[in-house]
Amino acid sequence: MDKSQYMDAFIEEARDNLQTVNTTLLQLEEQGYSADAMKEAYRIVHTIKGTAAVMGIEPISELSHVMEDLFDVLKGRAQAPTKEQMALLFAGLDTVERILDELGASGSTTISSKEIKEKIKAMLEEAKTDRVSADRSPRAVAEARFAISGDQRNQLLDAIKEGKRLVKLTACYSLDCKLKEGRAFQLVRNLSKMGVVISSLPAINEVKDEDGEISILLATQQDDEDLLHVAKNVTSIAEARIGEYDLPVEKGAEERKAPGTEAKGEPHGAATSIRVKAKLLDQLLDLVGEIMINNIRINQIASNLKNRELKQTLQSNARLMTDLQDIVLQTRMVPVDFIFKRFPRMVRDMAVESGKNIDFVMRGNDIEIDRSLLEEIGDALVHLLRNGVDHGLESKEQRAAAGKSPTGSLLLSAFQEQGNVVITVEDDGRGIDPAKVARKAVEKGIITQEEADRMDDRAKVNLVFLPGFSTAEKVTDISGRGVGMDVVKTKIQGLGGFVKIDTVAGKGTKFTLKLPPSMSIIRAMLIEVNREKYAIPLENVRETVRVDMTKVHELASKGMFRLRDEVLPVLNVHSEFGGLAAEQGEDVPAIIVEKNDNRACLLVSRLIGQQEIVVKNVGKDLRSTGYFSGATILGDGKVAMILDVGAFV
Amino acid sequence: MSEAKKVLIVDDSVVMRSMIRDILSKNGFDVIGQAKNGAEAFELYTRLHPDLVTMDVIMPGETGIDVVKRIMTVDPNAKVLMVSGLNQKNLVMQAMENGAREFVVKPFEHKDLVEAASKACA
Repeated sequence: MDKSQYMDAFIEEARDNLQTVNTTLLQLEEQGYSADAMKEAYRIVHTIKGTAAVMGIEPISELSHVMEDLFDVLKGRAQAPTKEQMALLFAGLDTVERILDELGASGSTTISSKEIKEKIKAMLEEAKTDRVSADRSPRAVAEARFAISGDQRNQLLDAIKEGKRLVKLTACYSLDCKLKEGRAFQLVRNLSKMGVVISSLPAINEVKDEDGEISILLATQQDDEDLLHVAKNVTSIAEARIGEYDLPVEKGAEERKAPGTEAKGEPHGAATSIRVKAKLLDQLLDLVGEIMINNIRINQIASNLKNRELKQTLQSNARLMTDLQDIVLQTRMVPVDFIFKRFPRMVRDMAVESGKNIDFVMRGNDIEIDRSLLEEIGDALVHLLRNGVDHGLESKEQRAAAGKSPTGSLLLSAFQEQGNVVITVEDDGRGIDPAKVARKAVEKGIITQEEADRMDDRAKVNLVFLPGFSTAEKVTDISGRGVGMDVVKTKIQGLGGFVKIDTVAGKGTKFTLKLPPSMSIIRAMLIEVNREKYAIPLENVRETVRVDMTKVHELASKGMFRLRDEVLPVLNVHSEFGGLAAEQGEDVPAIIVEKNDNRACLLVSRLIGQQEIVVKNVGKDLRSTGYFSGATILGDGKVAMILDVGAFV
Repeated sequence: MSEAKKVLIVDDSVVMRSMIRDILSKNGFDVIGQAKNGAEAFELYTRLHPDLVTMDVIMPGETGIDVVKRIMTVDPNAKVLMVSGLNQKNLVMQAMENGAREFVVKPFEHKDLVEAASKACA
């Protein structure tokens, strides 16, 4: 059967699982051993291994196999991984992630996991050396959890007297396995020919179709290989492995839970959520967009026909469309935790690498944001966090010298503000020194000394957003990777948001990213220039005015226009777009646009009105002109470019 | 491969019978008989001695389980492959407990049926 159809689902599930193992490992590292955490890590690595094996992705299945073994040994011994083991396990997870990335991009992988696998294997052998004593610990026995009745116990003792050994055989069902109870039955039946089946976990009549595997306790004289062969030969058994099993101690005072009282998976019930392919959601939104565009067109036709009934129907349709649009947009919302959850691990790595003590706190993980936006801002957040660790926070010594706590604080928070999602990255480090930034910018030839002298502190700090700027005294591994601050700004602006820096010398720095709730359907002001229509996002429109051109004054070769007590630069969109004559007269329509607290007055030929538009992405070529953030299709079927107000203010 | 395994198909649906026949015939099995109910199935089994029986679970009259039980009384080594729906878990389990070797769940892919049939014969 063609497995490629499962690839997307596999990658997604494996990523989720990786994330959970990462989080669990971090927890183990911070809080020490916990039976639940170890069990969780073990179980998930096991799942990753099983599905990877079914999918035939050996670099992952083999690597996760040794990781699982390591977890198994540690779990049996009630130990958290040591520092060295932790480093290898993290490295292993990273390798799996890289392979998943490659699989996602190209459908196949060339990455070898051999090196890290061998390292973990070596570590495993080392860990196993005192296994005999360790495995006999009462805890290890309690972990096994086979329900063994008095009869079964006697059966088991008899088998041992006959010279049989105890084997725990665990079999994984294939992804497409149906009616698992039947397969479990076959497995037990076939294994019964190889020895005495004492018990199974879960019991055969408790096997559920959600189960991933079943473990069977067997007293046998057969070789492992033969046993595995029999197990794997059962239909829909994808994989099997054998572990040792030690006889449980007599009804132990040490036993933490009575066998059989362990939770057996999630309670059954109607699913309250389902997984949907992200691509389908994108298509759904696109379709809603197309229908809305059509609706605008139909409305135009209807207004010419003057048919009352038609008009009423269309009005009710419009209400339905709005509801539909709201719901479609809601389906696209995901909690920011979706990407936030990988940051603790990342910051931890960066802290270790840089030798700094960092207290990393996240807030507002449940704030929801459009999935496509979230994907887009991931890299930007990574960069800001790296920046915070690398440049923002000082070394322990420097902090101590400045009378601060040796542990630096890094805070990532998300919250909603007036319909926008705001994400801040805040550190309590040294702050950005405007003078130092300006000096660097002059040295690098980004600005001249004269320009620098004219700048206020805020403008100087904002120089860090210019391409080619870096205040790093030396390029570290951390800041050497990823995107630059200029890319962060461009990216966020491209999404219709903005980035702001607040910094206080010696106290810290805060980056604020403000993002629109959804990038796909926005309200816009339609205008006409040179007989072409354009759209301006309404959030950038402050007001519309009429400009008397005779009152526009030339100032430093720029037209300036006085609006109430504010003087605004006047920009002629005609000439910007290579049009001929500039607008003249006493009554020229214009729009006051604003972005990042900067305003300008745009002269246009005609103001058409407000409407909802569906944002379509434009190619790099058009975006790189700096004028356009996207395009939309209007009611008459024509394309209108969406102006990026940032280009004018 | 040794001599083609002789198969008896038991199913009350003509569509299912044809489908199973086509799949198995194309994959090296020799379909020697088809039955549309339990009585026919038992009669054909004792007469033809097939290597494998594919057995529908629910049929008018005797169920597949009844037929399995009857066949087992005359031939404890009979090789029966249950062809079941997804919601017939209990019936499949009963059939297995009564000696059916294998089962395949509808809807199945061709290769699933062929694999199950081969394993049931092994």
